[in-house]
Amino acid sequence: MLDQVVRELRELGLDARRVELPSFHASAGAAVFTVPVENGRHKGRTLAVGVSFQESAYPEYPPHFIHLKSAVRTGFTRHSTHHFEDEEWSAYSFPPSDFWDGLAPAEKNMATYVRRHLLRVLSQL
Amino acid sequence: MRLDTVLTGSVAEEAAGHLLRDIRRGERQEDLCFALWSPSTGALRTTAIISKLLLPQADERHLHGNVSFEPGYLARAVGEACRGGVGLAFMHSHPVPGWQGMSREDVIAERDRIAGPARATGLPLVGLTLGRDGTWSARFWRWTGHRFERTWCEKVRVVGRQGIRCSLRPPNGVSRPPERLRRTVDTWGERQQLVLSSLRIGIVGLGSVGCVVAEALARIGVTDVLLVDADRVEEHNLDRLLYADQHTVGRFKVDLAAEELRRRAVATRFRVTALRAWIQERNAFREALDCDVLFAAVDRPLPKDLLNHIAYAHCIPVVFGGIRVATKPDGRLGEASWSVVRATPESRCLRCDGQYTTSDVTMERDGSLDDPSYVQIGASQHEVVGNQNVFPFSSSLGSLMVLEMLRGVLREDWWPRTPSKVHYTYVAGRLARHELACHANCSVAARTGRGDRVAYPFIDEPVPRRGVSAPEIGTERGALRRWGGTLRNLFRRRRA
Repeated sequence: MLDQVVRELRELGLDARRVELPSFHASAGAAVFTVPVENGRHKGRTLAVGVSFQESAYPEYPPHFIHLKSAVRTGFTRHSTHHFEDEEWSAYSFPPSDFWDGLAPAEKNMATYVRRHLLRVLSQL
Repeated sequence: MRLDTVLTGSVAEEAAGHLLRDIRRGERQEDLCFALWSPSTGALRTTAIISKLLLPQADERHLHGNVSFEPGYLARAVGEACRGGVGLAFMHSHPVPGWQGMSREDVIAERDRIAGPARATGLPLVGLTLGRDGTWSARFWRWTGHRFERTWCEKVRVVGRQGIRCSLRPPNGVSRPPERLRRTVDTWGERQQLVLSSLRIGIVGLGSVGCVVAEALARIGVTDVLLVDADRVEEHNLDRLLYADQHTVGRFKVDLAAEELRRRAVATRFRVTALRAWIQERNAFREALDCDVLFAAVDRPLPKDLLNHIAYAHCIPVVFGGIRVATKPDGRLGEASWSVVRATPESRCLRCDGQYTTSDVTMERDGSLDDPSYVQIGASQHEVVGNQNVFPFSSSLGSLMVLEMLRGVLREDWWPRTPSKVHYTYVAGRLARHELACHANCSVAARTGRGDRVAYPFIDEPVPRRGVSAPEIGTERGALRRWGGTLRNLFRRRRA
């Protein structure tokens, strides 16, 4: 399932790779990639982002954890920190619950997730 | 293994339109068609869900008072069933009312002509007969190794927007209602009471609402009840939980409810099955698939999602109830409201009704739903929404849920359309009814009638919980907790 996510992200032109997060919230792992921020405090920057998944549920059940390196300043206080690849990351819960369940099956993919949700979240940091 | 058959309201309507077309015009002309079915396998019951009709094309069947079909029609139907990975059903009509037996010609057609080719599907042939009055009868033809054996279904259910309509096989093993049910039978009649007493009804969640539902079912003569809940009675439940008192703290809610229901039930033969389990545990899930109606008195997203799945994929109506209470920052009551949603094929599902989202399910599964690190502060500064509740709210909701179930079961043709949602706002004193549908892309509605062919992804997966965790049940640690609870109760009783 994570391989499918990574494949969908790469089809968008993103440099996605799979990482393991064994100790994070029953996560099967995360897809990590960099994405240019279009609006908000970090407009113009390219941020490293992780999206973590539970096995078997995607795409019907979307991911809600968005991981950013803790060095990235945000206005959101409710998050937890964890380490992987010798860096501290912060995990924020941003569920795409306002639109995901209304999508057609063909639209439930990472292209929709990134364009309609992730970029929106990053612009609000 | 018991056998049942279920049709959605729209499939039943389409079938009746075809099979009874001439009979409704006063002619004694029977008709036939093939259909596809999917299995729904419970703990003790297999249900054939009729999912699609394959109506005859020109020259594929011949009407001559009786009716016959061409081999090519059978071959087309078997081919379509095999391609879809589903079973084959054969339907025909009789110009007389009621549950239909089979004539010698009927048996020859199903057993000797159709059941053999239908084995190519890997599933038994299901035969159905529709009487003039809309009563269905059904049977399975199973290959025993040397011949086809017929097993009659106990009932055929038609499930849809307007509720659930049952055709019962006579004799159905249900005796006449006892004298203690006289006022109840006087209210809606013996025929409807027989239908009610033939239903297996499940209650998922034996909290303050679920116990009121259970009590009402026992009092109206329901004979077979399933209770599912892994929670125990706690001190803070005592102001709302119907059967609880200070001596029952620590006991499993289902055990307590089952004990009280056996004492109060008015049906001559009453069976209650109490499962100390979460509904997403496989044994509880399969027991739920043996039910004809389910009550959902749960507040967590995952059980809601699973029950929503059951309602559509397995065509078992789910009556869901939810309460929302908001208080002012100084503790005064702001607003209270409760809703009953009947999740059933062709009506709006719980997810489309906004009772939960798939993101809520994901968050419950990974434990972040209750994790203060992620829980956002309430949206309104003027009201606090939490677990506030009082017994009268719960008892009102429980009664409303049973009333909505009864509306779906007892409904006569002249009754007004049944709303899929009833919403009561307490402070405003307003009762609103809504007839709603799923949105166009609803993936739950798309599973309608697919039964076992759509696996629910989270069966038997452990979920972080407040209090006792599901995997703990049945373990040494769980046993120690149960012993601890029993000792605490004994100690309290002695002190009392």
